[in-house]
Amino acid sequence: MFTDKSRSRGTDAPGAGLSLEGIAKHYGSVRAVDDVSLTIEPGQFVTLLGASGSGKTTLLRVIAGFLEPSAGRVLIDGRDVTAVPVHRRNIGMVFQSYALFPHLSVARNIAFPLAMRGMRKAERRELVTQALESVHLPGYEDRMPAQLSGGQRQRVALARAIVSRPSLLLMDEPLGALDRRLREVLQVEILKLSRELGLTVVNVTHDQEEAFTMSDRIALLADGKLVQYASPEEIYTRPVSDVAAGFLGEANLLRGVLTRAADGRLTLPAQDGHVEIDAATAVRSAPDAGDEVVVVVRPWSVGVERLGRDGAEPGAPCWLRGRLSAVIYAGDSQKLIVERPDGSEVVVRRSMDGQFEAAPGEEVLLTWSSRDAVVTTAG
Amino acid sequence: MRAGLFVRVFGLVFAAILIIPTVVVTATAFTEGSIITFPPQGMSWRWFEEVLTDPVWTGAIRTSLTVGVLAAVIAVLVGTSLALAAARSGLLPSSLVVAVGMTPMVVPLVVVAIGVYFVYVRIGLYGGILSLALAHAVLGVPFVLVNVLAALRSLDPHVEEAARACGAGPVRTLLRVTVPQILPAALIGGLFAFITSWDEVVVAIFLNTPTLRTLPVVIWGQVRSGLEPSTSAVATILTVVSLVVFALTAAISSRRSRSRRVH
Repeated sequence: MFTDKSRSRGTDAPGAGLSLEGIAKHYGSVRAVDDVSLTIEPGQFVTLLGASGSGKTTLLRVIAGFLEPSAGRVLIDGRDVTAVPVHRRNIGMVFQSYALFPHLSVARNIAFPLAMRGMRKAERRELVTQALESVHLPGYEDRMPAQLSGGQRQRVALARAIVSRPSLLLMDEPLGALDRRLREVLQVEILKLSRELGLTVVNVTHDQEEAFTMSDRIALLADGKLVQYASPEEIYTRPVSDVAAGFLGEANLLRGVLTRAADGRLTLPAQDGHVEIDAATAVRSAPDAGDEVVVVVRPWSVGVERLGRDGAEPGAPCWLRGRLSAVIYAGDSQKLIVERPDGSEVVVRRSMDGQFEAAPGEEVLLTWSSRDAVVTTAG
Repeated sequence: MRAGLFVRVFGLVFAAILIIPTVVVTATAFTEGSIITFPPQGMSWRWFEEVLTDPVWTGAIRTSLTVGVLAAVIAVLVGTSLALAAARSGLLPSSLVVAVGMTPMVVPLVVVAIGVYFVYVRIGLYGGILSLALAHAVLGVPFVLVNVLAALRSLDPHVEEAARACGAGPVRTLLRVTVPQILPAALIGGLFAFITSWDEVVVAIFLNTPTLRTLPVVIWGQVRSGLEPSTSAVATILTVVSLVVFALTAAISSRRSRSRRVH
C-alpha cells in the first residue's frame, strides 16, 4: 500500500501540507505545548524556533508521532493522523545525533526506508546512488558510519530521510552538533535539496541565524505557546511582542505608557530623552495615550554623535542621552554599548568607516527616526 | 601514576599466589611417571592420550560441552529478553526485573542446587541433560542480563526512533536495529554463561547420575578415590578451554569498542 504511494510520487511532486489544530501536550501541570495551531503549505520550509524549554522539540515529536498530544489534531494532506503510529506516517527524520544504524553500511542505512516499504533490492540500489549524489557523497556506499566525520554522517542521515520521498521531512536541531562553517555550508545544501525535491520541511532550532537563512516561515515558540508565525522578514520588522522582537535579531526595547503631547503627537516618557512614536509602525491596533507599549529600536537604526557642550535639548523627534560604556569590534561592524542614566543599556551598531572615534566614558547622543522604530506590546 | 616499590612487590607476590596452583597442576599433567609429582618427571603427552581415549573422560567432556552450550544458549535468550523488558517495555519496573534476574548470583549455590534437585525429582525432570543445562542456564542469566542491559542503556535512543521514522514497526525495529546492536554484548554474556556451566560443580553433583557426569563431577570423584596424572591432564584441558573462551570475549569486546571509537 505504501509502496504504491511512494512510487507514484514523481521527483517534482511537492511534499504534503500539514495542519496542527489546537495541539497541546501536558506533563502533569506542566504545559510543554499549549494550544498551538498552524498550517504549513506543501513545499514550505518552516522552522520551529525557540529557546530550550519552549516546546519546539515536543511539538516536532507530536508531528512525527513519537508523542501523543493531550489535545488537538495533526493533519497531513487533510488526513487526521493523530492516531497513526510513526512508521505509517510516511515521514523522514533527521536527528542532531545523526542516529545512523551503526551496524549497517552507508548504503544499507539509506536503503532501510526503501526496504521497509517493500522495494526490491535492484530498485533500491539506484535510488541509494541518487540519494548519495544529492548529498555530495558519491561512492560512499560501503563505508560504515563509524568511519565518517560528523558532517558526512549528517549527510548520510539526510539521504536516508529523503530517499523514500516522504511527505514530510522533520529535522530536530540537525546542525547543532557541527561547527559553524560546516553548519553554514549544510544550511544552504539542505535548503537547495528540499527546494529541488519540493519537500515540506519542519526544522527545529534555537539558532535564529539558521532560522533566518533557511525558512519560508518561522513559528516562534515561548513557554509552549506560539508567539508568532510569519516570514522571517515579517517577524523581524513587525514583531508582535517584545518576546518576538528580542528573539529575532538584536533589539533595544523601550517600555512605558504612552502620553499625548500638546501638539497631538504620541510620546513615550524617557528620562534624559525624548521618544516620539509613529502610529503607522504599530504592529497591532492603533496606539493611544495610556497604552502600555514596547518600542523596538534595532541597533542599526540608531545614530550616535558626541554630545554638544552647551547641553541644549536636541530638536530631533527621537533621542536619548547616555554614556558610552563599551566599544566592541565585530569584524566589519562596530558595536557600541551606551549606558543610560537609569542604568539600562542601549546597543548601537555602526559601520567602521567615516565615523567619529568613540571612546568609552564619553557622553553621547543617540537619535533615530520614529519610522524605524516599531511599536508593539509586552508578550 | 607510578606504583611504589611495596605495591609492586605485593602485586607480584599476590599474582604468583593466584597463578602458581594452576601452573603446578598443568605441569604435573606432563609427567612421565604414574603418580602426581612436582616438579614432573620428564615430559610426555601420555596422560592426555589416556584421557582422550578413556570413555569415562571423553563422555564427561562431551556432557560438559553439551550442557555448557545449551546453558549458554538458554541464558542468552532469557537474559536478553529480561534486559529488553527492563530497559524498554515499561510494563514492569526495571529494578524489579533486574533484581529477579540477578538472584542466582546472590543465592548460595548449594541452596540453588538443593532447590533444583527437589523440584526436578518432584516433577520428573531429574537426570536429563536438558534439565542440568536449564539449571546451569539460570546461573548464567545474570551475566547476559548485566551485559545486555549496559549495552541497551548506552544505545542512542534516537537510532530506534530513526528506524520508526523510516517505516519500521516496533517488531522490525527490535529485530533489525536493536538486537543487532546488542548482539556482541549478548554473545559475551553467553560465553560467560558457558564458562559458569563449564566449571560448575555443586549443582552438577546434585543432579549427577551414572550417565550424566560433567568433567568437574568426574574430577571430584577422582580426587576422593586417589589422584592420577590423568586428572591433572583433564584439569589442564578445562583450563585451556576456559582461556580460549575468555580470549573470545576479549576479542569481541575489542572489536566492538573499535567500531564505536570514531565519534
